[in-house]
Amino acid sequence: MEFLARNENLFLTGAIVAYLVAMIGFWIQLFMRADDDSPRAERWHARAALWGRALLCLGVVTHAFSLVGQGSALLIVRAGFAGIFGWGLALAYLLCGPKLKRDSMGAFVTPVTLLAAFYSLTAEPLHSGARSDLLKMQWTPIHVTIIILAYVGLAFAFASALIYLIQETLLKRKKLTGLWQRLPSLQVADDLIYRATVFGSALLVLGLLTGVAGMAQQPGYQPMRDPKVLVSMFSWFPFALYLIARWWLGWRGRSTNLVVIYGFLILVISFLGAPHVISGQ
Amino acid sequence: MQLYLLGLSHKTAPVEVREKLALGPERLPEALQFLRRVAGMQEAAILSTCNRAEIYAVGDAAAGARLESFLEEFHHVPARTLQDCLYRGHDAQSARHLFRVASGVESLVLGESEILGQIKSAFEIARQSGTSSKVLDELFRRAIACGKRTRTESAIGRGALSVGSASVELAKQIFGPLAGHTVLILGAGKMSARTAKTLVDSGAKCVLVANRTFEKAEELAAQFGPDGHAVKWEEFPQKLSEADIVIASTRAPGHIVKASHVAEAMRKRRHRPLFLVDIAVPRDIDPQAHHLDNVFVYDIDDLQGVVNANLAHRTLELPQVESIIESEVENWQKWYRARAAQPVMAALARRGAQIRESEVEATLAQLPNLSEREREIVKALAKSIEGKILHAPLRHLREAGESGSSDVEALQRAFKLEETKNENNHENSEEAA
Repeated sequence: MEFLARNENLFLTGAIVAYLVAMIGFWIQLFMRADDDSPRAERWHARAALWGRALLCLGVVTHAFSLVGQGSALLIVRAGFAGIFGWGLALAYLLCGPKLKRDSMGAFVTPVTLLAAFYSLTAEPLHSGARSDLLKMQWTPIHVTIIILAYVGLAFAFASALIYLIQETLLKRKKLTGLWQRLPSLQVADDLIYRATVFGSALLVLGLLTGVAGMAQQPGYQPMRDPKVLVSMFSWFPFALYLIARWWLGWRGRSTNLVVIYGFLILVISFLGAPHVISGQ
Repeated sequence: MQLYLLGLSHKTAPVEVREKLALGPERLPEALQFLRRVAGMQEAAILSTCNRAEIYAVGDAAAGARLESFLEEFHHVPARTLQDCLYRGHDAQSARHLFRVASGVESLVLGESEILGQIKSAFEIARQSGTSSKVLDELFRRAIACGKRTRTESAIGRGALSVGSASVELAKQIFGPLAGHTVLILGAGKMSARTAKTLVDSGAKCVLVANRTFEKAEELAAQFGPDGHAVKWEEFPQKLSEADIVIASTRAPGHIVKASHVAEAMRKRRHRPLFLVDIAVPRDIDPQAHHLDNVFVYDIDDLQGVVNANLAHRTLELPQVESIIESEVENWQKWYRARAAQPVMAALARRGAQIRESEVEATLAQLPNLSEREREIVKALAKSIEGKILHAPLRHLREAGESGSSDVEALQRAFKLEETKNENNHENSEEAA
């Protein structure tokens, strides 16, 4: 344990390098020799994807050592949260990827993982000193786990929405090169977006409720005056809009999937900007 | 003995000539027996498709010369009619040609795979007729393997090359598997029926047919069995919302499917994707509909573009396919030439065994007190010496045979194996009889 704690930064740096190379592997698989659909090129792409998956595995293992080394403090430090999210996303892709039977998703998931891991390495631990009392509360691990799962689900929705937009653009422009056959069909991508958004936004609500319930134990706490709650509700809004449009109006396709992309970007911006809002900067 | 090829194809002969030599599977056995009986061929196989008629036969030079007269006698076609259309080949040329045919390089549609099935069928008929033996068995087996290899190791057989299959390719990229999807046909023409059939073969379930003449719509719908339903022409705008794929091929002078129809249908179908294939000229579907969200309109030029791109891809694969064919031809040549050395190798091995057995017998006769175990040791020793002495010449014979070297005859003379040649010739003539 002590060894891991001493070398947590080293492990994290190793994980980042592995994620970076994995991302390059997935990009090569998807974008290079896009017009070539010969068995030769297919073997080449399969090798690139295999390397991508292998390095992602390596990154997940190394990153896990780093997370263990950081200890329970990472649950309340923003940088730690980003680290767990990136790790969880990579792990979820490795577990779900074979079921999806599409390596193309890796090209969109690994950059998010990489950025999250990079942020966790470089960001200031803004609240580590101020809110260490949170660690003593029993609900904190539950709340954080739920929120991380929500973020992972929404990141999957974001990646699927990007795939959908690329595929839809190719079909609309009638540019039917090799890339379009390597991406999933519109219907498959659309289903993934929908399921991941339902999963992510439901957990986001649950996470918000567990957070408020936990904080409510503190005397004089008013959730509607808590900037963190307000920011979370604000970032949840686009996903709610997407689901309402889909359920009640039957909207689907480019514009609704764009809402998911904006929603995830708002979620990320809220995550990065919330501490500044809370501290009144 | 040589392997002969005589044939014509869509590249050398017009359909009027090709149809004169066309043979259905029911007449092939008769033609094969005729080739054996009248032309004196030892082995024969005929590949007869709508694009080619080719004879592959094994026989001596005299039989080879009679091959062309077979066409005249069996098909009753004057030789002068065929003179400019025929191509001929022997040994490696014949093998190369069949390998190219099996790979789809010689096909009208580059890389098409139907020819592989036709070659298998021609081979099967020749085997059943008893006209395919050592050489043709090996030739056809290798040709089929070559055809499979070129399609596995290159992209010669990839990508849709017809409007129907291009539509299926596009539909799959929009909907994924087509199972359970509904197709609406506007206009009961042949082209739309063919495209719809390709979609149904790929899993599409329900087929709605709308035509100005309702009876024709019913006729076409009946072709799709219980899943086919005729729709009155006036009702097709309402049915647009039920369909996932629309194929339009009417002779209407203007757009019959307006963008407003599609917009209304999209609202009703809660914006689920809609794929419209317009194969009519002038176009039946307003191209403006393509700009609606989740609507994809492809006209005949777009589909032809997909086909052309796929064809260009296949053409780019030709150098790789040619190199695969060449390597297969080289392997075939090795096998073919090695055949000449096989009787000599067998005779040499036989001679070695004879000498060993007689020498062992003589030695054992001089040593009557040896135990059974000691006798076995002497026999094993003799066998080991024989094996070691013959190993190098046998290997050299095999290599010489594969490369077509004259060393085979030299070794034959050196080991006094000339009689094998005579035995071999005798066997061949018996087989031919």
